[in-house]
Amino acid sequence: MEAAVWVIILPLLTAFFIGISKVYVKKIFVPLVISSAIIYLYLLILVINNSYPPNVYSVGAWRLIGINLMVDPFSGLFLLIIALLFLPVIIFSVKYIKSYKHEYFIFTYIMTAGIAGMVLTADLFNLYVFLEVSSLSSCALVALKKTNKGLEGAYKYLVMSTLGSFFILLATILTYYLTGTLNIAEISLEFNEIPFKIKSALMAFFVFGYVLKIGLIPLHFWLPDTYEDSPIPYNVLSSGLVMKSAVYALIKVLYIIFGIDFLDKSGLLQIGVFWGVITFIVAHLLAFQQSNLSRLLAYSSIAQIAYIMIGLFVGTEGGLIGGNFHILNHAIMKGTLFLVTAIFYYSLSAVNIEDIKGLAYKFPILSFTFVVASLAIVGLPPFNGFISKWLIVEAALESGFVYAAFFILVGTFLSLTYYLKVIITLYTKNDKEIVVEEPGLSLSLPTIFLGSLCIVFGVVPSLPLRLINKIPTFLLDNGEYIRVLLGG
Amino acid sequence: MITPGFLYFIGAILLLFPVYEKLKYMLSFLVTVAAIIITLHLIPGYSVQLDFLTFTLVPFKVDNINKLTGLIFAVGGLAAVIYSISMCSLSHLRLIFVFIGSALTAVFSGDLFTLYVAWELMTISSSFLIIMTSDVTKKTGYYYFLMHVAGGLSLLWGIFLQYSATGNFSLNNIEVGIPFFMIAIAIKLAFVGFHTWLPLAYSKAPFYVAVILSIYTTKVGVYVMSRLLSGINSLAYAGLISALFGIAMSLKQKRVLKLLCYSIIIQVGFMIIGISIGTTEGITGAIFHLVNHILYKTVLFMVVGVVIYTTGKDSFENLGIMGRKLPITSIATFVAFMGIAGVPFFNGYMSKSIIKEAIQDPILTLGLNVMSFGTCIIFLKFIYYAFFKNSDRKVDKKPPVSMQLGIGFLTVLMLLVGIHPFFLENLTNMHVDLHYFDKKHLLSGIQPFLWSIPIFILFKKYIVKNYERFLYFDIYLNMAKLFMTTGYHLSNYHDGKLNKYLLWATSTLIILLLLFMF
Amino acid sequence: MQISYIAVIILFCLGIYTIISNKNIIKMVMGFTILESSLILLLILISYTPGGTAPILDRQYEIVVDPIPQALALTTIVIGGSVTAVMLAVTIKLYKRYRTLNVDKLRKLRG
Repeated sequence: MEAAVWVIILPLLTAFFIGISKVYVKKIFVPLVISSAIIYLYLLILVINNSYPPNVYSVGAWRLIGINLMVDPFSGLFLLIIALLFLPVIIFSVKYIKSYKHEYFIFTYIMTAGIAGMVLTADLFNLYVFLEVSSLSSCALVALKKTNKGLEGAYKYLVMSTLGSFFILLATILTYYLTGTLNIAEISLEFNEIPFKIKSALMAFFVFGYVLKIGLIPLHFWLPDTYEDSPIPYNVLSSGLVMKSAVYALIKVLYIIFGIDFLDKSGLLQIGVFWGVITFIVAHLLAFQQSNLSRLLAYSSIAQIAYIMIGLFVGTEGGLIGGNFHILNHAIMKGTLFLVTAIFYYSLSAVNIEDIKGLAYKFPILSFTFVVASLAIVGLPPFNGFISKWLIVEAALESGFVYAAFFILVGTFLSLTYYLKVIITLYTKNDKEIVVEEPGLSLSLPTIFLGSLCIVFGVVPSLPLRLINKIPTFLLDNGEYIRVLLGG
Repeated sequence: MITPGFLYFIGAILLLFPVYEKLKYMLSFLVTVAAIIITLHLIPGYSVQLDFLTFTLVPFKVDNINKLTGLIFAVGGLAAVIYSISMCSLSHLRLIFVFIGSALTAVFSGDLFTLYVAWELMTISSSFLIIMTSDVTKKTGYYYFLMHVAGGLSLLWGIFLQYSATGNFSLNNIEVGIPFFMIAIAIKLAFVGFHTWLPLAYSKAPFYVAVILSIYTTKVGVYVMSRLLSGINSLAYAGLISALFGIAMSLKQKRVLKLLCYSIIIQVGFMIIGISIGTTEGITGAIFHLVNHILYKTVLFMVVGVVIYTTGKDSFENLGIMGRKLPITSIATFVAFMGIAGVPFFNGYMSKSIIKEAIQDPILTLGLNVMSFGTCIIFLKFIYYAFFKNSDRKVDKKPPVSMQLGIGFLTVLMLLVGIHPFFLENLTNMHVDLHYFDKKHLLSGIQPFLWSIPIFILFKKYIVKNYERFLYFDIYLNMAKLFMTTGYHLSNYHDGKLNKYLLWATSTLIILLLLFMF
Repeated sequence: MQISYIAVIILFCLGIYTIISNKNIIKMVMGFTILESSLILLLILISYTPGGTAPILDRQYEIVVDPIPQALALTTIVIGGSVTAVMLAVTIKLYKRYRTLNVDKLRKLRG
């Protein structure tokens, strides 16, 4: 299981060597980046294959005293998302990024290391450290273009994300104070004796801290700001991984440490579902008003995260499966949309919806990919978003959240209103002569790859569901997780 | 066994490759003809099962009713594709194939899940057909897409309710969520109040798209209604009201295409009444009427298409080009008119008689007669402009052979069904115990037509007159405005002040703490 | 002993108040620093045992303070330092672009 450690170390090492290559050997830059990403893909596949039954690896063989890494199906899913997104985005960025190239790749690799660390670690404080690593480097990526809007977005992002981090740190310290350990399994065992009120307060801090990073309404305002003027391939990783890793951390903390019974008793499940419903309706309303394409996609991301939260907070097996499947699907669909947007920006610096008018006749295949991904994200069959939304609605209905299930369908309708607006603009003929810089294969191939996954996962959902179906056992019954972690 | 819907999908995929003009013709012809042959040879009772997620689906199930519906869909597909092939580009042809394929899949689906998927595929492909054809149809396509997705989501919600109550996707015995199924179907078959998309889409879209849309969209609604909601008697009155509304609206139209659109609403009213009676006779009559309606309404749309093609506009005056210069078109118009008027020995007569026979309620019988009478009046106006009013229009260009071929094919079929009504019955083993050509039925069939001629001549002044647009109120547009203003105000709250945002965050924290602690 | 915990609470609230109420970017960064120091203080307080010495393994001393929070405190200081550094770097760039340190002037991103 050394591979699990290398999943964290390899990107860090690569980041280091990219820095060196900038100073000394400029020629090895592209081969270094690509080969590292390919090796990384191989490592990830290795680790994902070992995710069931769960594996524990203790760094330096210190056993429970030291730092433990654990690969279970839930973290396996996130590693799968990294595996699907990382290589395409890296290939895409090699041609796309023109200024501050080295910095971009350094930060991207560090960010990925942070996310991989968050996903793998079984230690509460490490979770915080890796979270900070990933969010700080992602802040730096937002500011990378050094434009007015980019810097402003980066500052707002920094303020909010740091505020969230400090609340998470506060909750972590208090947890240590109450239990005397940082190992998730041991905390969970110790937690049985802590009074209900204190646990509730702790949970409030955890929820607040992580939700600030997830971006439910009204904690969402930094999110569209960061997307507006940042390098667009970074947005793919941001919406697909950075936001999702916060979801991962929140769910892990809530379900493993607090346990599903406590969540039910404290009313968090009801609050979470209600919060999700409010969030996606407001986000859809706001998304319709946007004229900037990236901003529109950002608001749509908020709405999709709300669907995910509903699925995860329903608290049943079906809900967890649906929510986790939607995490994967949203990463793919939003990745496709952002990559197409990036190509439009690359070819004729189109930022607003008006600018992409008539581009469908210039890029027929890419526009088709855009249409597929947006219909998928709306949730129309036969694409992947439909399947995961179906699972979420079904789970919500089963556990009695009828209003949530109904409003998800209303939300589907609302999301169509603005995606259709974009699509129609795309297919409206433009009389102006457009000068277009041709995107090469290295830009369009990753996009088409992700877009085709939208159809593949929609027609054959059993492919990812084989992994996802195993997730609920370890989350709903935290005793199982604790046994595996302590036994290792 | 390959299903006809699947065949069309394969055709659409094959068209993805760069295809030469000749190959395009060959491929379309092969696919459409093969679909008819396959549908003809389907054996009722055959079904396919498929495991998907945790459900067992029945994506393909044949019985008498859907075999007949599928057959007329396949025939309509052949005629429509032949008719439009010389005008539409490759990408449109692809979408047309997907549209026809999904309509056929919806008809042959054996469970609600497959039905929903096919239903949405129809919406997607037809909307893109409208959106992509020209620049004036963008807003129409937007409206059409949203309306139909609203209907589809209503269907989905009904399916969810039904599934969570009963645990299966069976098409029979819908118990829960009937209002939602009703809304879904009402939007699809353009029931009054939900009809706004129909005149808008069919009159704005290019005529060959309108031909194809008119064959499938509303008819799938009728078919699904016969499956899910048959036998709800009160709906018969709703169908009557819808049809009367259609008559009133179509008399006031200035454009021929809009007249045809509203007449679809009338004809769908007949089918709703037949289905709502719920007896085997009623449903069979409704399905036969669906078949006949597809035949004559498609021909009428195609004829108007020829008029648009040759003169460029579909005003009533331009109908005058018919006559000796366009013999096939003129004959087709006449036959279709006789069919839609329900004159004996033409095709509409047969299904109308069956529905009339099935009705017990005297109000409905009266209503049905009024509907037939109204239809006759409307189409007498059509015929008047086409043949009796002298027009100095000249035909600049002849319609291509493919268009005339499509019209001719359907006209022959219409004549066949009209003269030999048992043809349809024998084709599908659905026998109605009715002597079409005895005195009683002949009399009741021809009466509305005979009455309508003197009344048309008497009130010609009022009927032929050009009415101003009198009232246009669309509640959906008002709802959209509400949606926009709410979003606008919400968006104004995000004015970029970081301190305000931080205040929101802090209050959220306080609310969270209060919620969890107390 | 208890009074020191109260100091932590006061520092924490003070930090949050500074962040929310101030319109000056530098002062907001200061608020974060105050917030961070309150957490470090909390860590130190947790590990404290009366009469304990530094956690260095030596036979001479019987009572040592809990070593883990001290390690955590070191990590937190490092992270806090880097956060402050990134924030100040962004601040410098912002000042060069907007020629102001007032947060209310940073309002290019709306809607």
